[in-house]
Amino acid sequence: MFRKLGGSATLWKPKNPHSLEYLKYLHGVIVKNEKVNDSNRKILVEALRAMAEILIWGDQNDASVFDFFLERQMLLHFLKIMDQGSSSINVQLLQTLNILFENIRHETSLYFLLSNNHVNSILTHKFDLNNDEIMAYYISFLKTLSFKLNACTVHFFFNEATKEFPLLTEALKLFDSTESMVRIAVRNIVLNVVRVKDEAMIDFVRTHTKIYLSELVDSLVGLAIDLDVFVRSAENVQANRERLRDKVDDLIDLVHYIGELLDVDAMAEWLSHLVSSRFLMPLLLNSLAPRRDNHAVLLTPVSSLFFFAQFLLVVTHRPTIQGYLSAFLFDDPSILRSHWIRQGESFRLQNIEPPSKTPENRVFFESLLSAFDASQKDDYLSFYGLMLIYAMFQNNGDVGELLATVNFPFRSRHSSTQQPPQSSQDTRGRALTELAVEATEDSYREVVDRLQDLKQEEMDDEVLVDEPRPPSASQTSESDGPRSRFMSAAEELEPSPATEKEPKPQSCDYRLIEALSSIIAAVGNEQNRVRPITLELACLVIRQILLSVDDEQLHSSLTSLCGKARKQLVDQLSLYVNSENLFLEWFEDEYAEFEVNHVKLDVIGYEMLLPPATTPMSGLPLHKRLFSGFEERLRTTMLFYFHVRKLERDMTGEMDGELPVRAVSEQEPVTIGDCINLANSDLLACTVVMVNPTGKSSDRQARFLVTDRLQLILVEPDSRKAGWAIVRFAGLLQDTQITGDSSDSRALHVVVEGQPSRKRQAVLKAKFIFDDHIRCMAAKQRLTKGRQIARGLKLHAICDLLGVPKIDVASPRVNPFKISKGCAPGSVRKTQSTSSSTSSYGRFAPLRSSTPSRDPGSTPSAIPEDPSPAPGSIRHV
Amino acid sequence: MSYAYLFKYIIIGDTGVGKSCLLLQFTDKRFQPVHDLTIGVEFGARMVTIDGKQIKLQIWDTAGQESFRSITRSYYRGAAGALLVYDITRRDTFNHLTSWLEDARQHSNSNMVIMLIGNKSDLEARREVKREEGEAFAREHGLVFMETSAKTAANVEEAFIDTAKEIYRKIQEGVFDINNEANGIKLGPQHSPSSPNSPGGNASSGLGGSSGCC
Repeated sequence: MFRKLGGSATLWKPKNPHSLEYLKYLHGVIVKNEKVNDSNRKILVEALRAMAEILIWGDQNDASVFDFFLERQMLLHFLKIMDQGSSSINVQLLQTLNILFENIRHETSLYFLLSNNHVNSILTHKFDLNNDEIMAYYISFLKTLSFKLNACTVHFFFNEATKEFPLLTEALKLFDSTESMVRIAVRNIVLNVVRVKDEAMIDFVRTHTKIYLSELVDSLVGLAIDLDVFVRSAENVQANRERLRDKVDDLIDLVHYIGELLDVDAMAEWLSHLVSSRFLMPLLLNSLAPRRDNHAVLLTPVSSLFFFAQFLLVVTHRPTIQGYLSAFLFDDPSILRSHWIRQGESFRLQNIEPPSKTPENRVFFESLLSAFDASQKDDYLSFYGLMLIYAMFQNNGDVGELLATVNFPFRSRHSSTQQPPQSSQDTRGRALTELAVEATEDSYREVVDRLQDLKQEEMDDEVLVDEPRPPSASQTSESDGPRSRFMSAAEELEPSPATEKEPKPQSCDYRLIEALSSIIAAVGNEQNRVRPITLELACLVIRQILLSVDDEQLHSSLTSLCGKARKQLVDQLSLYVNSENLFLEWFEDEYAEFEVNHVKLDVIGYEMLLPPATTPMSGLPLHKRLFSGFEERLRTTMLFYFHVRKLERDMTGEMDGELPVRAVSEQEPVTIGDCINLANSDLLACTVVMVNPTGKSSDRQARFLVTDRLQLILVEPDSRKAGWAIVRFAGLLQDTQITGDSSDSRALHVVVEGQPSRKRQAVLKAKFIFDDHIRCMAAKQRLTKGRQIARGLKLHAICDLLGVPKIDVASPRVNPFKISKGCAPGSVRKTQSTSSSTSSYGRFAPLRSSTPSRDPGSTPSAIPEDPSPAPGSIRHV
Repeated sequence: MSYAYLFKYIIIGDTGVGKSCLLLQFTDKRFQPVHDLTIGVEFGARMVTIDGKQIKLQIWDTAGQESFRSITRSYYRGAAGALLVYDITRRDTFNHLTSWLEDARQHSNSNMVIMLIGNKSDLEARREVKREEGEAFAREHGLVFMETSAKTAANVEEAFIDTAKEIYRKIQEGVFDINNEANGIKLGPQHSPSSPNSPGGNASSGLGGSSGCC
């Protein structure tokens, strides 16, 4: 039936673009215009575009559309047109194909499209990939197809007989494209391909990705060396950190990608070998041993520890992690069999002779401990030492046993039992013999062997574990006590507190404890060169250790260490509590910063990688650099104090009622929108002229100024309730600054600062205009005094906290301004509106102008009465 | 066709919110929205004119790659603009915005322009998320907000072009490092890498100016 209506018929364009007839018409157009030329190019582009639309419509509505498409071998027509190399037509063809494969819902339609191998012919077509439009559509097409891959569809793409798999091989050709989106798409395609469960295909993939994977690992090596060179030479300024961020992100992306490939059985073995023998051993580990060869490319210890930590944080592949970690923890430099050397622009792996003299034991591990050496001039290296230890605890590669053998505490994770056993042992031998024999292979074998040996040793005897393990009962009984609070405090810092089994009681290498303790001890010393973030990370690691190590002695020695450091810090602070005018602000600011800033491992990588900065010019916040000048020194000491105090309290289980500091006050602070009773308060009528950020004065508002012991409050009378007012602004007197106005004796300039932080911002910036000079002076006096008293109260609280003697700034007296907080306006509206619907203003007015309702004793006679305002001045807005 | 700049966009948001349809609607006007046919694409490009300059927009959909951390991380970083899309008829897609935004902010460069899009505004009867809620979310997180319909094409043009304007403004202010392609911005073929940003200040006119001084 189709034949009768075929292409030879005269072309008649059906009205309905969504119909089988229309597809037949389009088919006719394509057949008629087999030869592409200037005159028919536009017609063809439109026909191909419309075809996408009708085919998707057919997939969703009319099966006969696809039948026709297949019967007429339309994809073959596509190929013929493609061969003529018109770029505008090829872009359209690729778009049509993209739309087809993305929008098809019926599996049968998909199978039809994939049969006949036309799709593979399209994949291998030599498109002009220098045209970025064609490149983008082409790679999108590949990516779309890769999402359609599964055990059922794989044979459409992979020809086992001819060993052809264009989807993969064509994609791999583009892996180092200059276009980032293309490179990402290639990775995506590879990840989609390797997850398909098909043995024949996996075999093919295994052999055909060897070179690709090798280049991938070498590019990781290249990125690491490049990054290290940058770290050595760049100054710690904003622009360099930005550049560093790009490099670090590139590297971490690649580590993620490698980690995801390692999770795929088909890739794991060979890739793990490559990563160990080309990246981890010759580059990272080699850089931690004493230099043996002048030509070897080695990283600075900082870079090496950082890359190692990142690797542990991202990669979970058990054999890779275990092999490397065991070498790091137990081995000596004789394990190193190769190193990288520079060769022109690139790098080459070179074999090396084993060391002639007997090497030192556990030299890599020693290098980690020496990162904490107190003789270091700063905390640059110890920061990354901490990061590595932290990363070891966090790693999901089931490294618990390994850490236990070195007396590193670890958090047991429930995943440990789910981890599949190392299944690849026998296949590994086979795979290795297939490889081109390389010298590096030996080192890999050695890693594997060592890993096996290690496991054997663990099974044979437990000599490596030197602490006898107390019965676990002691652990459970303890956790009910003060420890439980500590547990919860530490849990907060954990990004994902896994629901875990009760950990086995463990011990901790005393040298590790010593290393961590040295940081806490150092911050008590005035001459220290520690950055607050290093202390914070050390506290984090200590908390983790204490979560799994149950050792009374360790616990109490750490507690007393903290106590000692805290006392030293208090001694340094106490000199300035009462003498430094801004002590209160700084103290509150730093506490606020301490509360909000927490170590974020994903940013400190690039923020901290350059040598420690010492000035604000570096653009780094204070806690991530060394201080400069008196103020920053004091602020840094405060931060140290907060961290040490918190750790100490976590260990003793004390509750914290003293921070943030609060001045003793019998009242709750009022907030905007509160309805308060002003029956016994002093009110000062004023006009408030807000100063907006551009510096211009804006609208004028009639308000009454009230103060209590701590707050400056602006109210507006409540129209529904006599003697009550609604709070329109409330700020702290301690943060209020006032200045007179040289041109207007009735005016005051008032600035109230908001939440404490290193960059305080004004929450109110306004000019208050009073009725006359006397009232203005009264307000000034009240605000100045109020500020003094409020600050005095806060400082007293700080003195109590630090255990420093107080100095009486102004004797706190009975609050003269009685404010009682009332119910919200809405709740009283009903009853009030009936009684005072006509003149709420009239009912409020006498309250201000008559004395009898006030408490005469509490009103200093120096402050004159507020006069009745002119009508309109307190009209409700 | 030559262009002054190329901006790379990504589209993010839950599955089924209409990302790929928005993409096709914007990049290819030849596909008229029809009520019984939903077509989308995962890639598209289009030329727009901003401030008299030809700017090429390349838009990459991120569908399906959520399971690969390595892929999402890199995608965010390679883009100068992102359209964060939810479906006004499905509250859950709105509720997930926070986590999308967190991801985007964490992995993208800090200058990436993010536009919040409430899609399917044609389905007023089935609306579950009020316009005001979208506005409030955008305000709170400093995003530009718009409700669109890929079906009626309402606001689709504006969503993409306003984002481009914002990126262009940032370039003019010197916020973006346009020589760093990792930012998702590419200079067009007529810009030589050594010449400054503004076409008026190219190498030849600069030389002419200095010789005139002497």
